[in-house]
Amino acid sequence: MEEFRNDLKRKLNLYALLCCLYPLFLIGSKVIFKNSGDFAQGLVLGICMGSMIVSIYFLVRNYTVLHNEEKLKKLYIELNDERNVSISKETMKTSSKICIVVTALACIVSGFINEIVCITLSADLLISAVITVAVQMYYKKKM
Amino acid sequence: MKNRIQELRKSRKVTQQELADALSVTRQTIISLENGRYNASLTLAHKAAQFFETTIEELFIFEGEENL
Repeated sequence: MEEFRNDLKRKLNLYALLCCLYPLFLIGSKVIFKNSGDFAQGLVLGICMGSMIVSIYFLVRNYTVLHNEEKLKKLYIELNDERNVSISKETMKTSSKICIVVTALACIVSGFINEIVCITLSADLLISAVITVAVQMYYKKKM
Repeated sequence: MKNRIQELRKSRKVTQQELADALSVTRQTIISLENGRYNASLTLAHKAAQFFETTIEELFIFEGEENL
């Protein structure tokens, strides 16, 4: 439990740091990419705002939990419950398989419509395959 | 894999929440274990056996090769 508490404290500091960095990054990107189109600037703004909202949520949650023993224990059980962990693993496994199949189908279909989209999706599939092999090699060594 | 968790829990008048707290899992995990929808890990099986002061073999009934 003490290890979990320290982990939450570390994450709390990280989220606080991120909350400070996002506005700076946003201002910096406005200056650096001032000649970029509206789409690129909107994309950066969206990603920054989304990440900041998530960081604030976890910042508040971790702060609240760290000051309440009962909530801390509840969160510890919730995050470390082996069934929940198992569900997360299975969800990731199944969803990644579905994503690969859908991307492969989209890649085939896009081949008849747009070359650039088809190449992009092919590259995505290739990168997914490389990452899968790399991760598998890592776990084969680790386990 | 079948188990005797519900039987032992009821005989000892322990609620699902109390058992969940003792094993550091959620109540939903206890429900799934009792219904046989979820198989406990070795660690959880060990903890459960310790809680009921029994052995893993007595708590969990192995019925041959599963999921093969």
